[in-house]
Amino acid sequence: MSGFALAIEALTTTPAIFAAIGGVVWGILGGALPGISPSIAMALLLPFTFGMDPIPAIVLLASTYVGAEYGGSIPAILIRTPGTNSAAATAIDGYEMHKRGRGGEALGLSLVSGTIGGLVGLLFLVGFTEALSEVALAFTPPAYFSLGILGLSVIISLSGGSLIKGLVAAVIGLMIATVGTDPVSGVTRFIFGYPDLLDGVPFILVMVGVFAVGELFVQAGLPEWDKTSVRDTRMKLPSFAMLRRTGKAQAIGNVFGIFEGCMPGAGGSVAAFMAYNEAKRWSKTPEEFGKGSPEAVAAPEAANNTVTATALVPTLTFGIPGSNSTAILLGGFLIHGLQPGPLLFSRHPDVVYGLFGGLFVANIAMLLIGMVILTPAIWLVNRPKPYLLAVIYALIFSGIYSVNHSLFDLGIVLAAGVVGYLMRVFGFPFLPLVLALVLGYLIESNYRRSLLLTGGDHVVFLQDPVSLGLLITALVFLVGSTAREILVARRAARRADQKTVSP
Amino acid sequence: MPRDAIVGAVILAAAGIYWHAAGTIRRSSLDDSVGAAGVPNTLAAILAGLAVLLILRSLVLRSRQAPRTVEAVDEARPDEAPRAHFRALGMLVLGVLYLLIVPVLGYAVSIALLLAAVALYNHRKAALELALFAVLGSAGFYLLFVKILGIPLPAGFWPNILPV
Repeated sequence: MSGFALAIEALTTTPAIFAAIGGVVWGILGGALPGISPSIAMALLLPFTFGMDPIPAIVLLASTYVGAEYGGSIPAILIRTPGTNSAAATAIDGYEMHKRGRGGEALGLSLVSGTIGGLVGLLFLVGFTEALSEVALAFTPPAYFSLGILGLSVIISLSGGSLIKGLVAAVIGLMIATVGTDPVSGVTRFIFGYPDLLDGVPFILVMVGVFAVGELFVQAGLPEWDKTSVRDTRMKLPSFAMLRRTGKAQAIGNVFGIFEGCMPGAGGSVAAFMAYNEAKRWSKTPEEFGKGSPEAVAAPEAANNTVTATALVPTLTFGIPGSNSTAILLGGFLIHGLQPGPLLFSRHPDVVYGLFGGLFVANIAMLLIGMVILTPAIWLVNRPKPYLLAVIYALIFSGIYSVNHSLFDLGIVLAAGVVGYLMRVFGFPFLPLVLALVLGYLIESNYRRSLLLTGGDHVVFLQDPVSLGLLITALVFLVGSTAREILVARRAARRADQKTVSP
Repeated sequence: MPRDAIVGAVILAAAGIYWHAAGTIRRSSLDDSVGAAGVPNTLAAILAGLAVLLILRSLVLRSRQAPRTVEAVDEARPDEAPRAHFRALGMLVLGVLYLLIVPVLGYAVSIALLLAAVALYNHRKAALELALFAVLGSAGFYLLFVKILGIPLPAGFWPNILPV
């Protein structure tokens, strides 16, 4: 059956359409709340997808991502507080437009640019993912091990901050992944007498803890965010003339969204800022940027919504999530016993094309829902923060309990929340930790399987050409990242020297 | 001592603890050449090495900055930072308390208390509005999770004292 037919079947025989709509609504509302990133909005839903069928579950999560990337622009434009990191670029000119009484126009532009971006990204995803996955079919156990190492290396190199801290986070994630049962001999490791740990530490608990609970702890120490009035803000869709004017910026956003989305670790924020800068460079009116330029809203919004689809390329093709949000989505796949990677296309094409169909519905639904959800979204942002924090905390505990009906799991989530908080305080990126936890079993089992085939000879990782190529690429990323860090530190030291006050 | 050096020292200690715990993993006749403890031991060594690098890096960076800058500008506001950590600690304590009371008081009552406690803790005034929020919120959560989703959340001691 063709992919298109599979998508139609998935949409018509499962509740995928409702999941897409529900996910978009949840995503927009969640994304509109400062502090609730797309990954947190998805993490909060993850326990609920446990009892769902795979296709609507995956569509629900992916649609949340789509909705949240637009939702983040609402407070960015209205109160200069991005609801999501990737809306920070939108806040620059979006808020200026709002100050000039054009807030509704900015919101409409954000919505339409985001919808177009999402559809363009989806086209790229559908066109290239399956072809790339054919390459991955040639992978052997040494190649899978090396792919896991490459995935970690890329994430560590590109997720920002110190390379050493990224490596520490990844190693800690791998350590957590060793808890449970040894994949070869079945011996128990690090369970400390707790039978709940026999199957290891469920990554869903760590994801929800690190992302959502850690953020709650941070929000408790931050002041209330600004409020805005619903009365002054009405959505205004862009006219044809405005669409023509912002067409170039839209295209630039799409290109950067495609490129950055496929790069693990880059994500919507990087794409949005790069699109903003390039749109300014190519604009006929660059002097308007920073003062309320519509192009400066269209470009980043196009970019961050394009990423919602293209970030799925490395996830679906190799099983390597490229961002926090796709790491959560990967978790959704694994919960349902689906291993993203090349075999997913041959073993579960219905799920893959159901996801594509669901994303199409989600982007169209976002355009329609976005026109009417502004008032409830603003109402939600205007709720007292203490009530929102309380509801989210209760939602986390209730949702997590629904997974295994175990209070022990709630304890793990709290512990992971502490880890997530400490990582934020001390500047450790948490995507490497989450990714290492998710990939840990794959890395160790393929490592040991490779050695079993060769009687313990590590040369196998260098003899397999794919494995060798992947390991060299991983090394290049790490060395490149080290060199960049040293250069940045030297430049900072030179600047500090120049600022020294002479006695 | 620079903050990262302290963090590095803590991580080094954690690597040591993990190494020690890996030493208690028993050997099996089904072991391969690596063994069940092989990967954990390797990870412990790598983490220890990274911790040492982190300590050295922070000391080197500090030694470069100290004699050159007249005034070290700290972007963090020391007055607020400890306060923010205590606020976070309080949220953790509320979560732990919830875990302790839910098997006793049951889900509905515990969630109501959690909602009220978190809202109060985050500076919401104790008033009728807050009480209504806690009660209605608890009812909403109970309806969604217990009745609609059918999750067997803890009932506490209520089934023993209330007629079924």
